[in-house]
Amino acid sequence: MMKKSAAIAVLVLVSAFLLTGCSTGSGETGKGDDTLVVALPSAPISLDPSKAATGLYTNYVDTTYASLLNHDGIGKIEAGLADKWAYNSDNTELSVTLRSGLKWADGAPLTAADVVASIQYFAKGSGGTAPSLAKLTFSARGDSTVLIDSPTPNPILADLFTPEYLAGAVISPAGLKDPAKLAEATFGAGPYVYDAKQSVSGDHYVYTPNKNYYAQNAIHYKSITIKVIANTNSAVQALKSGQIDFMQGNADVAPTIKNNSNLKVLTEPSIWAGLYLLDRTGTVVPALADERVRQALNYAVDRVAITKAVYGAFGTPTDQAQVPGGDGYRTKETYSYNPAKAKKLLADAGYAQGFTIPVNYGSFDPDNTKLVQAVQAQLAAIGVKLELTAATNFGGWVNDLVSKKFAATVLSPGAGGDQFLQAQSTFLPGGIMNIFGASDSAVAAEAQVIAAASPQDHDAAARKMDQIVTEHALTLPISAVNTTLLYNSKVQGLVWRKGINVPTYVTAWTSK
Amino acid sequence: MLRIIVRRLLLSIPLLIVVSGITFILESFVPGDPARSLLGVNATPEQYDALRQSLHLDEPLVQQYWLYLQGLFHGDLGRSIFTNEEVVTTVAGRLPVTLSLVVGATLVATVVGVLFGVYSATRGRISRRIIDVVSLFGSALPNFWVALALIAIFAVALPLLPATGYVPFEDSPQLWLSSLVLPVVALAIGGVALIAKVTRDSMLSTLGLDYIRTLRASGVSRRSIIWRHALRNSGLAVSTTIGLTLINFVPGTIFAETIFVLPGLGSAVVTATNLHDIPVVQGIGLTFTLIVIIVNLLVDVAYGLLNPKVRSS
Repeated sequence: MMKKSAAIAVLVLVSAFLLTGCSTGSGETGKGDDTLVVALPSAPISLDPSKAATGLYTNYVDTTYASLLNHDGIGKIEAGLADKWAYNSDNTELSVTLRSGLKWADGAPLTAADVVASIQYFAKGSGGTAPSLAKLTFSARGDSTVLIDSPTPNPILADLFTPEYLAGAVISPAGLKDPAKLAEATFGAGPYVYDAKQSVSGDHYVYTPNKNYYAQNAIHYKSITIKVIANTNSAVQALKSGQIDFMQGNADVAPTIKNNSNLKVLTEPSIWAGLYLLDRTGTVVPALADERVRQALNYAVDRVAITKAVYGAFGTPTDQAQVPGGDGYRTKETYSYNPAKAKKLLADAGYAQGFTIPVNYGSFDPDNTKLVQAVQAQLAAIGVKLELTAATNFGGWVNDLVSKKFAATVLSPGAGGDQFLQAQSTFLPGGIMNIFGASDSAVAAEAQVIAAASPQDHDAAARKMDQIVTEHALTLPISAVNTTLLYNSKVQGLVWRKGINVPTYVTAWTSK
Repeated sequence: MLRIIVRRLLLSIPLLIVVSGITFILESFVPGDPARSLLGVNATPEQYDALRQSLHLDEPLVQQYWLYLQGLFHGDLGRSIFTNEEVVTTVAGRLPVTLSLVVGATLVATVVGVLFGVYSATRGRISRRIIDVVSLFGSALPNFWVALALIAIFAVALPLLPATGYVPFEDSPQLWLSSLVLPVVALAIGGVALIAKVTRDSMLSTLGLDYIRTLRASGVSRRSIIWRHALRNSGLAVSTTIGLTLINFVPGTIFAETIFVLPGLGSAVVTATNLHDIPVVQGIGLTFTLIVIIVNLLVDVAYGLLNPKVRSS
C-alpha cells in the first residue's frame, strides 16, 4: 500500500513539474515581443558572408553585416552604410560615400580602405558575386569614399553592394586577418552580433544588439534567433504553437493555417523554375544547337498543367526566364502548348525520330524533382527522352554541372532577377551557368544596350532582352514559383519588394 | 566481474578503429564533394584544387584515413570543413541532448514494457490480448507519423508541451523535461512491444517453475512472488532486450531530432553526411560506437548483478 502511494505521489509530482513548465507550448523561456524567432529550412554553409546563399538565407548575413547600400520597397537603391552614391556619365564608375562616424561591431572606426579590402576579399572568393566583381577595380578616396570602376558600362554596380548580391556586406579588418574565423564568428557593422555562446551551429543562431551600430533606433529586438527546421511540418507546428514567428512554407502547408487568425500568408512569384538548356553549342547533344529544336521543346510542354500539379495556387505558368513583375517581364505569351507544332519543328530540324538529353537535377528539392519528371513525361510524347541523373546534395549537383556531361540542368530552387545580371551569368560567354560557353550575338548586343541605358530607358531594354532570350529559346521555363511565407500577424514590416522579388529581412521587422 | 569490464574496454579500442575505417570507406561512396559544396558554382579550377589540397581531399583514401588516425590517437577529431568548429566541441555540445533522448526513451519503454509484460503474464486471456494489441500497435505505427500526431495534439490543439526545440537542463530543469516529453514518447513507443513480449515470455516461463509453486504454498504474497522473485529471475532476458532497445534508439534519434528540432548528434550526422563533412561524420560515428560499447558493458554488469553465477565465473 505504501509503495503504491509512493508511486502515485511521484507521478503527481512529475506531472505538476511538467505542466507548470508549460506556458503557451513554447519550449523557450519568456518569448515576448522583444524577441524574434524565425525558422529557415537549412543552416548556412558557412557564416562567412562571401560563401552565403541569398534569398531568405541572406538573413544569416544581414543581421550582422550591414551593406553599403540597400533596396527599398520597389527595388530601387537606397542608403545603407553609405548615404551617397553616384554613377559617372557612362556607367563605368560608381562612387559611394560612407556615413560619418561608422564603427565596426568591435568599436574600431570603419573606413573606405576597410571597405575596399572587404570587397577585394569577395572578388577573390568563389561566392555568388565573385564573377560580377572579377573585372572591377576598387579604390579608396580619403577615409569615406569608395570608387568602383568597370572597364565597360555596368548599370548594376550599385546593386552588387546590396544584401541581395552580398558584396556590400563589409567585413572588418579583424575578420579578414584570419578568414578561417569567418566561418564561426561574425565581423561586421550590422545591427546585431552573432552570439556563439547561445547558438548551436546547425541548430539555431542567436543574434544580440550591436551597441556600435550607427542607427540604434533601427534595432527592434533584444534578440533574434534563426532556427534551422528542415522539416516543413515541424516548422508549421512550431508556428501554430507560437514557438516561432516566421517560416518559409509551400503549397502543401500554407492552406493549413487558413483558419488561424494569428497567422498570415505572404505569397509572391519570386523565381522561375524549369530547365537550363546548357548545351546550346551542341557538344553533348548536337540537336540543342538548333534553335528550332529548343523552340520545339518549349511548344511541347503544358505549362498550365505542370504548374497546377506541382505548385497549385502557388505558381504561375511562364514561358519566360522571368517572373510576373520582374525586370523586363512581358505579358505576351510566346509558346502555347502545341505538341503538333513541336513535332513539326523537330522534323524541320532533322530530328523527327527524337533524341536524348542527359539532365542533372537536385533530388534534395522535391518540387524541382516533380517538375523535371513532369517535363520528362511530356517531352517523351514528342520523342525527346530526358535521361535524369539526381544529385542528393548541392555539392554533388555542382560537381555534375561542371563535369560537362549534362546538356541541361534544373537550378534549385530557381532563378530570375535583373536581366543584365542574368544575361551575364547565364547567356554570355564566361557566365557561371554558361557551362559550354555558348554565345548569342543578339543577347550580347542587347546586353550592351542595357549596360549603357539611362534609368528611363532601362525597362524597354530589359523587355527586349527578355524577348530575345525567349524567342531564341535559350531556356525551357515552366513556372514562375511563389515564395510563400507564413508568419505571426504581430510581425510588422515584412513586405514583399517587387522588382527584386525578395521580402524585407528580419532587421526591418518589428513585433507589436 | 572486474576482469570482464577491463577486457571489454580493451577490446573496444580495435573495434573503434574498425568502425572508423568502415565509416570512412562508406562516406567516400556518398556522392558529393565538400569542396564543391563550400565553394559553390563560381569557383575557379585553381580555387577548387587549392581547397581540395588544403583539406587533403586530393590524396588517396588510405593516406587521408592515416592522417585522421594520427589525429585520433592524439585526441584530435579534427574540425568541421564548413563551420571550422572542433568536432570534439560539436560532439560535446550535442551529446547531452542525444543522451537525454535515448536514456529517457529507454526508461519509458522499460517501465511501460515491463508493466505491460508483467500484466500480460499474470492476467487472464482477454487482458493479455488487449496488452498484446496495444503494444504491437505502438511498434507498428511509423515513428515519424506518431511524432507529428503527438505535436498536433499536445503542442498545437492542446498547447501543453512544446512542439519543437530543446532547453538545456542547466537553463531550466522544468523546461528541459517538458521539451523531452514528446520526443521521448515518440521514440519509446516502438520499443515497448519488444520489451513487453520478452518480459511476458520470460515471466511465464519463470512462473511455471517449481520454486514459485513452493513460494505460493509457503504463503508468500502474490505481489511479492511476481515483483520480487519472478521478475528478478526473468531479468536476464529482459535486461538484454533493454540493452538492445537502447542501442536501437541511437539511430532512432535521427528522426526524432529532425522532427522535434533537437540539437543532438542524430540531426548533426544527417547534415554532415549530406554535406560530406567527413570529420563530423567520423566523430559522431565513433561516439555512437562508444555508446553501444558502454551499453553492452552495462548489460554485462547487470547480468552479473542479477545472476551470481556470472559474477563468480
